[in-house]
Amino acid sequence: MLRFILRRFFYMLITFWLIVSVTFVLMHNLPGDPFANSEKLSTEQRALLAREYGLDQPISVQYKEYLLHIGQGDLGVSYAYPTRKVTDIIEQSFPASAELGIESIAFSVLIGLVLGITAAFKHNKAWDYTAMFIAIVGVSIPSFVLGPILQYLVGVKWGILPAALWDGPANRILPALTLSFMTIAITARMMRTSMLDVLHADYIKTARSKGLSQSAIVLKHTLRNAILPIVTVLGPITVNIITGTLVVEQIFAIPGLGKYFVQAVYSNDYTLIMGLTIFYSLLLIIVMFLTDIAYGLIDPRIRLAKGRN
Amino acid sequence: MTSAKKFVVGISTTVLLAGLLTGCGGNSTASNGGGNSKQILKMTLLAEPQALDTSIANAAVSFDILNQINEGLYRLGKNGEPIPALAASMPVITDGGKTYTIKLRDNLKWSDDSPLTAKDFEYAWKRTLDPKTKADYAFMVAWLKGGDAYMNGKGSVDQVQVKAIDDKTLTFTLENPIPFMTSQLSFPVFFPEKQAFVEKYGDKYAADADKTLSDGPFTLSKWDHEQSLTLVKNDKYWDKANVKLNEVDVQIAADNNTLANLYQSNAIDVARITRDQVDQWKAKPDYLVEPQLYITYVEMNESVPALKNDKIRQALALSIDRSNLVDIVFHDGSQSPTGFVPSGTKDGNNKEFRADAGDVLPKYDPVQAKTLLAEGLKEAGLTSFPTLKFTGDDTEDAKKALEFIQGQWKQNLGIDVTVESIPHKLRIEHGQKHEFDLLLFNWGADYNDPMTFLDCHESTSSFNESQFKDPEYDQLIEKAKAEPDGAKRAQYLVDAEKMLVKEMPVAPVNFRAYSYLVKPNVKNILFFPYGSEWDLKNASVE
Repeated sequence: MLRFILRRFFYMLITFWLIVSVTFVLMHNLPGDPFANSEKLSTEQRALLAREYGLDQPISVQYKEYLLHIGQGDLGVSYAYPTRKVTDIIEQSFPASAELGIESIAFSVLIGLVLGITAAFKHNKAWDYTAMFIAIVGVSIPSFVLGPILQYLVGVKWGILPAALWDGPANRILPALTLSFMTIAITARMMRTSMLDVLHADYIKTARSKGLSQSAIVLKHTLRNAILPIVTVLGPITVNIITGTLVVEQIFAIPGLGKYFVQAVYSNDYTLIMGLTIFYSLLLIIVMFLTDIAYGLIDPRIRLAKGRN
Repeated sequence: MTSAKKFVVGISTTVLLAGLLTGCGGNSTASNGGGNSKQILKMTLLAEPQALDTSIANAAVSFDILNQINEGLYRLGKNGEPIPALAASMPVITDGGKTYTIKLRDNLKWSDDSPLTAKDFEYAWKRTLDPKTKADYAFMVAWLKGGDAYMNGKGSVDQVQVKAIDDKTLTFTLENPIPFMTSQLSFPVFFPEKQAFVEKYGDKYAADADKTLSDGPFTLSKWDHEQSLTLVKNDKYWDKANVKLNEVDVQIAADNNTLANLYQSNAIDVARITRDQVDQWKAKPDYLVEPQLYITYVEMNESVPALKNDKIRQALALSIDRSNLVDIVFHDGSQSPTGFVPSGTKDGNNKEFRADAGDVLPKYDPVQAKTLLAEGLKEAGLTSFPTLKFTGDDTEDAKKALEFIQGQWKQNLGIDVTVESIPHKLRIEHGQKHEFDLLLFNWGADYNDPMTFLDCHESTSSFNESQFKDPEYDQLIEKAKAEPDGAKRAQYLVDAEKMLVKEMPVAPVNFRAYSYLVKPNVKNILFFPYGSEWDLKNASVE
């Protein structure tokens, strides 16, 4: 097991180095300079700034410098926000994104599972069709359409919830719902399929013939087996939601990290692009790792197989 | 079966109830926040401001805050006129308009209760010019004698001609007379800075609320990055008796739809809206149009043979129906341009430049344009107009404008251009390297004077992207720059604009305006056409 972890760690480092290097090269091939107000900069000012930031150095020198800094945990200072370190920006903006992400995942799992289970138990009946209709709508309506609709209807027309901003708990509901709609749909469909599979399995028949109550069958026998595929996709869904907050953050004016990513690419903010790439790829790697562990915990067969190795 | 149903119903009810409960909670706090008697104003910014450092701030969102928490020698009044702020009176100007001597008010204080003196100005201006400060707007302070050399790393700080004679007197000398200098002293880059405070925080100066120091109507009490800023009344401010607001809550929200929705649900008092929302609000008392000192034009690169000919360039300009374009593409109160200097620009001689110069841009005339094109092609020895590339930003406005103009040229002149939408940074790089045929370009004023729109067409300017070269034009601009007499200078600039009309190096298509919604019970917010968007010093909520 230790050797397995060590090897994984080594691969992780290599992946990490590759991501950093490829991003570095791609980024420096972006046209234009990283200075914030470049429209108004004269040629002389531009040259002076490039010298100040070391951008007049050969790219190999810049690359070496950069790797050295990363090694020391220094992600540099943003070009667009010269007084803010990239690490500060991440520290200040990520909590909002993460909170929104966690709330959306909770919504997805809760609502998605309920819809999926209902659909499976009422297979080919009105409940099933209703649940699956909701799921199809969820997959088809993108968040940049759903967000403004919810915002206008719930926030402005009915005035039930705040239209946007990030002040209190009430402000979380609309963006979390918008962000989770797609994953609610995915979860519901997967849950339905896998529930149907399990429901036809022999051990469910056995359980039924033993005279177990419906709730005992659902909770003890069906759910635990049917939920496995969901746990598998939960990892990618988590990453998807955490990195995919961009549109929702913009629509609901949420002070999160998502919008920095596109903004940084758009303004050629070299240090911020690199910092965020590193941060997000680390996040991705960790989430994947955790998914693996969770999978093993739920399914004893996987634990055993690994143990035998 | 029934227990499964219970399970489902139970969970849905819980989710719904939770939603409703928190929903109600949110609602009640929202209505509390709208308490008007408390003099709390709710504003928004389109983006997170950069450091609130008056030396390095370079974006409108930063100026918006700086103008409330800091102050310079003068503030701008309702009509853009300078009004003494930290200065006790208007400057004494000698030496043919080059030397200024300004007395400060008595007992000026920073928000930490320390005295504010003329030395704080001298320090701030020199810090701005220091190449290490990397200040984009240093070029304005470089108008000081010795400023340009120091900014470009060629001179020394001692040669910069600004000096605090005593605690209450500041004097400085300019390289050339600048008729709009007094009003420009209201721009954040000319604000004072307290040396001990700046040096205490170093790189982190003005990066957070507790690292800012105020001398304006408000202080910054809270700054949640990317989310909100809270300003409260500054009780050390010299004119606090005239500041009515107790607090300004500024939320950061970028999406125009979101802003309109927030406004409609009373979460904010002021919103800037765009095209899509204008018709809905146009007839209501909330709606307000503020023309900007901002022009959009088509640059025609004169290194392209077909664009070297004056008549061809005129034909391209004349065949664009500008009033239609402004209405269809922008639809936000923007105006059809009447010259190369936007309406509202002062002439440096206490008048409006457009009043001096008149409506000089030839009217939309597709017939005349067609004739000009034919004549021009003949003169240039071309049999037909080549297919050129027409480049612009990949923003929604720019894309629509590109397509509209492409259609006009096709319809009125029978010529084809290929449209290319590219990211802003790339567009700027193409422009500055002259790698384009036709380019849709935006230019906003740095100061309220025609010069900011005219000297970029000088052959030596690094912003002369169309490569227009006319020694006579250069001469007029240089003469205007050295002229101490306001009337004569204004005339030189009027003549210079006339030359642009004749030679048409660029074709103006829009004088931009902003559309705002302001709650009818909010009074006395000043909106500005350049630099900072608004001033809340005298604003109040009734």
